[in-house]
Amino acid sequence: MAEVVLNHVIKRFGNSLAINDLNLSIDKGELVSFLGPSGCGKTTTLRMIAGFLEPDEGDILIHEENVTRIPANKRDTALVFQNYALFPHMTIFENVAFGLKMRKVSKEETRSRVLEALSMVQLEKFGDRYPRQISGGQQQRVALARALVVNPRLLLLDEPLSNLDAKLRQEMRSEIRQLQQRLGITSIFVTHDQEEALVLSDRIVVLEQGEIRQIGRPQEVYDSPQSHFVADFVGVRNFFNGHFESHAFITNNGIKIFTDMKQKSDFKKIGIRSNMIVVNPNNKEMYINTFKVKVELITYKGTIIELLVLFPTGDSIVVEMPSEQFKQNTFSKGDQIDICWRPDSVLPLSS
Amino acid sequence: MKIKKQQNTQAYQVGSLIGPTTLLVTVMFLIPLLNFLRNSFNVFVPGQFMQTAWTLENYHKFLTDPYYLSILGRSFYIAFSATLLALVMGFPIAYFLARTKSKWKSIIIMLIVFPLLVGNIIRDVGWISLFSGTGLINRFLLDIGVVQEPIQLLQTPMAVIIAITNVVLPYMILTLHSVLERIDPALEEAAYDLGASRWTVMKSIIIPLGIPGIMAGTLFVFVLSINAYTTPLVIGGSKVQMMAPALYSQISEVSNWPLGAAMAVILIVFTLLSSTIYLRIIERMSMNVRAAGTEVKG
Repeated sequence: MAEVVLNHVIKRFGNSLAINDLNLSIDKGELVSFLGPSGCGKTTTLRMIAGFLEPDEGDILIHEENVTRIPANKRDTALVFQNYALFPHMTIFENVAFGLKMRKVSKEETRSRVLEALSMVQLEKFGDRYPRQISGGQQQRVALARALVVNPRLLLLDEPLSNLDAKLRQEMRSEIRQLQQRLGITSIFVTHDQEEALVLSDRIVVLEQGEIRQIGRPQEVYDSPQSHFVADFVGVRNFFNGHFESHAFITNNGIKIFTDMKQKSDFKKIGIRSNMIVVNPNNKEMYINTFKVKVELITYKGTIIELLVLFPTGDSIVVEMPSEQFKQNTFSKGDQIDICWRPDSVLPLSS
Repeated sequence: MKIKKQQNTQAYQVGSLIGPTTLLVTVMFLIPLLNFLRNSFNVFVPGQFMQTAWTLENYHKFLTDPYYLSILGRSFYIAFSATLLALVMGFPIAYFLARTKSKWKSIIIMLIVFPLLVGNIIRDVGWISLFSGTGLINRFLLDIGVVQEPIQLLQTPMAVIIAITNVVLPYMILTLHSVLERIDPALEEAAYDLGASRWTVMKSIIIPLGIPGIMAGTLFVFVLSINAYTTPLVIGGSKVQMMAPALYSQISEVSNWPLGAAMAVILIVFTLLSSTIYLRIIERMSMNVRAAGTEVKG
């Protein structure tokens, strides 16, 4: 059963259309990410669901109740803010207790629920501290505990990890996911980080200019992005414009790329992931697509080596190869190499 | 050695920057003040300027005479009321200003500051035309028949309070605004999101976090109000005497420099004392808030 439904939601800011006819349904217990660049409408949508913004048209339903005109403080949602928004003049305990106080929960029950929430995020010993006395990661956990303690029907997270450093971000990522699954709480997670969305989500909603570009499970979105925009956002770096001639794609510069397209199609663009391209393999024929290219730039990136290579036509693409393989197969800038990829690595894209 | 030299240069630069001001303050402010303090222990002899002495007579006279004490009491009452009024009126405006995204914001701030560009006398004349027996308010009341004859508005404490509030309100608004503006709007949203009403958000988030501004604003405005001169003189007249005009008239009209000086010292000490007590009380009330004044991000 759908726990959250957005029905033809439209939001304008002045003359500009922020959200254009958004339709979405989220199941109970599901974690859905809104993924997109800044200005794509992901936070606007989240704020409409939280009740801070009212849509100009359309309806928002939570647990089959139309909440479109219900203000944030009367909605059964809890938002975790990007900068945590902990109350600086209250202790950690008071911060977490705030929502319960508003709900007029008794003192004893508040105490036990706050302690439970704090132990859920491993901060039971920090109740007496003030927000400024704990680290960013701990503040993040308090914000999470403060949202979860009121047992909301819907947990909303607005880029909650963007202020943390990379290592902490990964830790918190799995912590949030584990907690969310254990509690079975329906959640919406706003992010501009594709990796975060891929790791965390049951489903990803890719947004651009206030419209949904693609919805799917992380693997679907990653493996078969449908448009240039989505492909670009999930890390595809090589694109060719051209047209299909039966199952082969002819780029505008005349490069012929074989695909596994079965029937005739009119896609005008394809994408190829850098890591699907193989350098100087022993069994070239296996890949079907084989090209001689010139190495233009070699960039060392730890586990991988990134190559910028140039086709005779002047097209350039980025190729990733494992560092280990590069060690056994050395070449340098200006050398000719073979690059190969299989037809099923080619992603047909709408523009 | 190089560092030492650098420090010296720096000290010299700093010195040359703050030196003139320090000199000015010392010569123009501190020395006259000390002179006043000294004068307050002298003896007043009618007909003469004053006689040098070391006596507490002037203080004794002031502190035991109900007439003088009533001036001090009234000054406090009026300053306190004007401060409270300015706070109550200024807070909503300051909060609105702190949160508005209107393109008119700078215009609104200009409008708030504008009264300060009009001199006190001119402003007070305006109040007279409003409050006097033949002023706008009385004419209106007579016209609609609420009163049969003009009511006394000028030379009442209420009129002085209103007029002083008018003078100090911009200071209050600007001081509050600068603090309220720094409160992250996300804090309000977080409270609201957790089920707080608008009023609870105000009571448990904005006001506690705005305390530094409330403290600075009220203190600033109170000191300005209790030292008011023109407004009580023009609007209050002889019926609503406050300390500043009263002590000046001791000097200029009675030529009683020692008593005038003693009144000045009493006014200064009283202002400092009440400010200190006030700060202590607020401090105790809001230990947490002050402790949480700086937010660490990370």
